[in-house]
Amino acid sequence: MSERVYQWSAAIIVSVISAFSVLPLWYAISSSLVYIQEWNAKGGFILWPDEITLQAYQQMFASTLFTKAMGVTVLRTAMGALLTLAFTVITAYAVSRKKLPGRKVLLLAILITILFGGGLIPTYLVVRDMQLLDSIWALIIPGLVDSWSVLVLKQFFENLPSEVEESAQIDGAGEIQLMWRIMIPMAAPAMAAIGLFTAVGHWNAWFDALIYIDDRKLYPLQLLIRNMFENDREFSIMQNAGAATIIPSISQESLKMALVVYGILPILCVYPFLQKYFTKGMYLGAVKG
Amino acid sequence: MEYHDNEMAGRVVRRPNPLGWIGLKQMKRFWFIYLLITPVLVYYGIFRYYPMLVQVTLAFKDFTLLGGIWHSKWIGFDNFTHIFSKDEFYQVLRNTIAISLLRLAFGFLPPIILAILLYDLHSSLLRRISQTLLYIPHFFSWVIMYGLVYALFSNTGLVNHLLEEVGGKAQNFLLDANWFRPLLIGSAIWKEIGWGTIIYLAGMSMIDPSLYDAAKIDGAGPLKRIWHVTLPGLQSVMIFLFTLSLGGILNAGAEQILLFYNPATYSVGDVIDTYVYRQGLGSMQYSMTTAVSLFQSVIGLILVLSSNSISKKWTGTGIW
Repeated sequence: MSERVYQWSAAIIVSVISAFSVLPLWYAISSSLVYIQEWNAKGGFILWPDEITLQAYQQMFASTLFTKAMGVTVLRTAMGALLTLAFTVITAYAVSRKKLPGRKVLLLAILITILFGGGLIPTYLVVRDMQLLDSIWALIIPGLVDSWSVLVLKQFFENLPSEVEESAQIDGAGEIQLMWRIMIPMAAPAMAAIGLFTAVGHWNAWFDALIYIDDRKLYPLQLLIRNMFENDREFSIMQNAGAATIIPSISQESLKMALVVYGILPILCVYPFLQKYFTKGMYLGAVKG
Repeated sequence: MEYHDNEMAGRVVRRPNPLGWIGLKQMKRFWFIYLLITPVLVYYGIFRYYPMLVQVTLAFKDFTLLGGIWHSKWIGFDNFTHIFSKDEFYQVLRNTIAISLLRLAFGFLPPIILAILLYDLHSSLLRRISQTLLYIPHFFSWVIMYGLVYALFSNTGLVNHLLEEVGGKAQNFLLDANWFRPLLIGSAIWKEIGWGTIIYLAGMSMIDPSLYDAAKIDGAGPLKRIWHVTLPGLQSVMIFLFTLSLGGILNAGAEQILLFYNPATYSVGDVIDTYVYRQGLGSMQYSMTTAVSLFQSVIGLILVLSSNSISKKWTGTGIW
């Protein structure tokens, strides 16, 4: 194969796959922007809307279940990411201190949790016995620290140049100052990556809410979306929560697609700005020392 | 080893300190670290290790609501003999392994091929734009993914419309057991192919560029260069990821399956985790499904440890 043929083939294949990566999303978005008349006229086959309306998105806000779900998701994402990040950094820093007594035991304890887990039922029973069911803490605490992230961040701390540590000690810095003023600021890129991944994980989470939460008012957004696809009854419960009248100018399918877009919108919005943090973080985890 | 200086008559003698790990002085130095990690240790104790304890006890008991975890009757291996006698367990096990192997068979190569094509692209503009687009599906939740699959494959979805345009018949993709696995695995590949290139791109960046130049001088075309330079350079990464995937064969991506399956497709889609969820939490058969979980955890542990040591033997890299 000649170089030119290869280059052209590569460019075409890469472009096609890239386009396909976003095509379904495009389809969902255009389905969500049409009036019911256009939907019916085209039989739901909307590649490019003739007339755009944001009513589907506006109608969502009339449902109190929807607004509550948004609130729950935003809250768990913010709190969860912050707490997880704080505890992950502490733990990783601790096990990166070579002279820390008990370090090997800690490391082993963390490693074991990567290989072995409690299982679905036992974990559920523990969460139940801790009185966390039907509270937002059931969405934050059970997954508080991810052992894998701890190990990656520990590796990062260990790879920091020791000259910085040594010169700080010569300057009379105690362990606390060393950690707070020097090591942690130097770990900022790795911390940003872990914080972002954790935030995305929280935003997308639905299964923990499925098993731990029965109260509809505490459902996160993703669970709401899942229920909506699971059966239409759930969908009408959501629609009727709070809305005085349902304006029938938008088809059910468009509403569903609008909900789906809500589920991905924040991530899509921040993604272009944060892409380099995500890939850098992945790089850090992939390339080991 | 820690040494204690011991001055005797002006000479410094170093003696090994067998209890060095207790190092009280060191513990004092790090007191605030111990303080800070206490909540983490509590968390690990309650939410990671305690459930492990529950799992190994509950699997051997006959759980009743009255007895709870600790006062239910011990029944030894009865839970296990009961499960292994059930036909549906073997169907679940077959589905789990089949789906994992299918995922591996169809999903292993595409990211590698895509990574190589990306890497070899002359146009860095095209590469960067593509990468931006390719990584996006990785950030969708599986719920969103299912929503998109629904938009495409439902009875009024895009695919059925296109089918009818070309004169075909509309298919009930989402409720058909024959379409379940293709849709499942196809959508998973679609979601992760872009993100999956990252680790291979990282690997390729470590290949010495002069090897490519030497190959070109020897007259090797692009395909030959891939075969003789790129793939050997990626060998360690590939073997590592492959063996790791085999180690995880009993985890068949249940989060996605839970969303995609329905009673019409249980026969081909029900895997260990979904079975445990439905029978365990749904039908409240806590101890029996815990036994299934324990089975999965133990076999899984053996598989991961074996695959890790195999990977280490072949490539020198493992998980740790």
